[in-house]
Amino acid sequence: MRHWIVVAGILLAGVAAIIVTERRRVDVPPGPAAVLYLVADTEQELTRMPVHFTRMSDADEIAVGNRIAKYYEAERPDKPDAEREEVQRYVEQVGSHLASRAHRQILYRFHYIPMPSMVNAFALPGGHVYIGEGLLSLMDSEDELASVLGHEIEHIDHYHCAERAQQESALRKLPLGGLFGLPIELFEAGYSKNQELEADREGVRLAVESGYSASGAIRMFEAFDRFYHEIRARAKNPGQELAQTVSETLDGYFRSHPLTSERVDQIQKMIAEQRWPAVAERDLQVAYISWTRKAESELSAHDYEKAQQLANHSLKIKATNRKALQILARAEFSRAEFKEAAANYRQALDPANPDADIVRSFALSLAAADKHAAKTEFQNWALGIHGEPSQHVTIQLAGLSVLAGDTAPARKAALMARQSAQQNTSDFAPGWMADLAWWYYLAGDYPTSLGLIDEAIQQRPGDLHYRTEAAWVQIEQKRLADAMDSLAENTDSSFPERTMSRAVLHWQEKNPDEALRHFETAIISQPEWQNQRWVQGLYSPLVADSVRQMQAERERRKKTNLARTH
Amino acid sequence: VLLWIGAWVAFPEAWTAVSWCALGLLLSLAGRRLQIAEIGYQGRALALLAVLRALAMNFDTTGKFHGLTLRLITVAVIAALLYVTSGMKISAGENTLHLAGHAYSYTTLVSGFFSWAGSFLLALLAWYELRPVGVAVAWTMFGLVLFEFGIARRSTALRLQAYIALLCGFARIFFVNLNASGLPGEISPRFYTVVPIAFAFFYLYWRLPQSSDNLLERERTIATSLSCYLGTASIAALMRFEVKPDWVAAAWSGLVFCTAALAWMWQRKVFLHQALLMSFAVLARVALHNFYERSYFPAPAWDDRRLTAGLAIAFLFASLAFAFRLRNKEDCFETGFQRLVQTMARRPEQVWFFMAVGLLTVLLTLETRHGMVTLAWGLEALCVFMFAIWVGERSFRLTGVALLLLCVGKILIVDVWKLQPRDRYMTLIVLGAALVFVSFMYTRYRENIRQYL
Repeated sequence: MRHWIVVAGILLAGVAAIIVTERRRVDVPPGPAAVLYLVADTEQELTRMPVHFTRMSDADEIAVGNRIAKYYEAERPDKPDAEREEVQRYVEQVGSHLASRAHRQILYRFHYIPMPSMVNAFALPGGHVYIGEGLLSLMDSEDELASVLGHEIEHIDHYHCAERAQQESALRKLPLGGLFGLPIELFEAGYSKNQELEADREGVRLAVESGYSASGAIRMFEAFDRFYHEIRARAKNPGQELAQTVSETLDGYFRSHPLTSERVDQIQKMIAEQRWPAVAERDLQVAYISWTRKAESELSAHDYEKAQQLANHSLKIKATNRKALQILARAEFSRAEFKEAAANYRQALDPANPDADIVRSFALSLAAADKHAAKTEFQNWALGIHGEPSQHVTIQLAGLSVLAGDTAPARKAALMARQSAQQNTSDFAPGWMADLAWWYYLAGDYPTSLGLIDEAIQQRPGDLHYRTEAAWVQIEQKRLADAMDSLAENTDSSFPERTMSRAVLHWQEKNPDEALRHFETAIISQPEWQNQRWVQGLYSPLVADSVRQMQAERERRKKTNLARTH
Repeated sequence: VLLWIGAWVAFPEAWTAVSWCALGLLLSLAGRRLQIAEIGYQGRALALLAVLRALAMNFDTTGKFHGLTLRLITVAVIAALLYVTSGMKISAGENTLHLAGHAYSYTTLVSGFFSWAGSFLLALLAWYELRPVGVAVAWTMFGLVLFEFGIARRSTALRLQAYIALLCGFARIFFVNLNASGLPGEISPRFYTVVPIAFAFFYLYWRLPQSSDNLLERERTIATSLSCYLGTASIAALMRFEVKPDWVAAAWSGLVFCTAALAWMWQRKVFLHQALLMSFAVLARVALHNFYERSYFPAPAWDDRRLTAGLAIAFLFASLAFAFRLRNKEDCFETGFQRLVQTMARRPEQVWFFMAVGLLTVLLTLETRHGMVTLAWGLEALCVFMFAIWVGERSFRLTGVALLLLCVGKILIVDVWKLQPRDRYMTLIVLGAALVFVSFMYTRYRENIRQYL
């Protein structure tokens, strides 16, 4: 009887534990972390004593570190880049501020690795600290950066890097001179759980002593955890779980970073014990770079609303960031918010050296927002250009004049483009012709437009943009066979404007099936075509009507198909 | 065959396996009632197909039925039917299968197969239905139930299944449960999922000798001590991950004290062996972790090495109380490593005393200022000597004397030349007093001490 009571008690405790884990939704990804901690910590503890008594000198450690760093940097030659330089300076500034409070007063050097896939930071013996772009993009405060750099400094300060190098020299039977050839992965992979926790503790202390908030470390761990959970999928069956665990065990012998919850717990206890005051976190001064990159990636994925949000976030940190302004303007342009796009393009333009593509987009936005006021707006902006306005500016101004009913500047510009082409003084001449042709198209003067575009095609017969432009004009002139000829080449979907011109052409030919097939393809690659305002702002009324009709027909067919299925 | 196909058509998807299994059971029952062996064979064949079908289909079924997944309902029903099928004897004559020197009757093998299949399906079901952290607990609890049934029904197959489920549960904690640290400020899932598992192993250790009549000889010897070791290992592993790194040695040392107490209370050598094993882990942890982990910033009082390592040493000293009662002065007859192990088990007080004194000496060296080290050692030597006289242990007394001689040596070789004047005077005064005290003791109790030394 007694054993039944005992077994019932244990079963009850077990069932209660299961219920609690289910209720609290305790999700622990299965993995070899615990076993790896045991092995790595035991190994580290066993080797610590001999390494402690045979520790290499600071001079040797610095020499080894310098050589490894030199090899590492030689492997990845970086192009000079203003953004990269700025981040590098910033990382150095924060790192040096922290390192001045480190125990070992050696020369600490901080390096930024501009690789989005590098979601890591690591230290080398002798004072080199590296931080990857991927990791930096997870941060939004300087305090987070300080916690990461502090952590890496403490790996050096507590001789973890030196010990790792010495252990490897013993395992590989390498002399001190041979340590220079140690693979960088040894230091990238992280240390034992104890060493990582030690670096966490000491790193946070260093950051707090340097005036940063300890909560930066907590937020950093949480961001890293979210990232880890995003990239790691749950196993679908026990076999997959076993395979994952074995693979992680083999891969991650050294990758034994402690669990996030443990690291956060440790820091929170320290905050409570040390009674560190709550300090407001400082903005990460270079965060605008990663926000801009994210905005750019959303723009490429056609998520214009998200791209706008991210670009605005970036601009909050650095309002003069031209790249973010340009992305914001492009996103607004794609959403047919032409007025806002024009304002942002205007800000994105460098008055000392305005970019031709941005000038063109700026002019188009102005025209789409208000055809009549566009010329004056553009002229006002052009007055602020440093020095003589470039030909690109002149061409767009001439185009806007055409829209305003004054064709004289456009004729003059066309003459200038022709002369340039004949004298071979500029590679841009055909482009200028095509731009002027497009302005004539928008003004409804199709014969002049086609004449100019034909000249451009003669100069560059292989350019599909010009041929597409010619097709649009030919469709307006009801020269559908000629338009078909202009659209004969490149029938793949990589050029959505060309695909849409085919759709409009077939629609005009009363071939709705073929038209809708092309329409579907075009809107996948360029969803802007579904926005009536966008089409009306940038194309002729005929195109806008055709697109609207195709869209309506598409919806009608969809509904019919749905009704049939049911 | 028609019935099989009919069931397939009538009960689609997840329910097909259930219908086949139920049909198999009915056929087995009919075969037994009508005493027609062929019908029984067909019933088993259907049950086998049901198992295969369940493995292939049912585990991917995520549909719900009254809030429960179809997977849970159907696999649980299949497993229950398989257990019932396994209980029905098949008339297979006297045919036997010879495997690894043992003869097994086909009746036993067929019956065993279905209970193994049922248990396997249930274990797999736990993996699919529960969160990863709950699976080890479920397997262990399932193992415990199987064990009780195995004892009650005198079924070796069920007990073997139980041992495998328990071992899998134990192994799994190292890959899932010990990673489950939980949120700060609340009891971690690591704690409340591993503790029931450890208790299950201790229960097994307690229960096995009670039912020794029903057990195989090998099972009795291996399972009993193994379950005790696995229980303690679960607790030690939990401490290793749950307790702050600096406190692990103290926690393990507490475990040494508890297992030594259990060894004395119940006179079970297995606990003494575990205590000895753990004490070596304490020695390694204190020496290689606590003595080497140093922050450049002042440690909070609660994590001070004097407290963490000191407590570990205190538990080792406290364990001596049980060690003296557990020592055994019989001669040992083994040689080599076994002799060493036997010797340690016979004289655990020697092991723990020397560990504690060694660690204390190093701790004093690390924690006192240069000049005060000799003084601390002198006081330690005095305490050891007094303790040795109290417990009447010659090796302890020699240790005290050796420590005193170490002090004298250090003073003559190092302190006299290197210490600051104040520390030098202090050291010489205390050492002089200690030597006077020892001389006095020696003069007064010369005969007794000679006898002791």
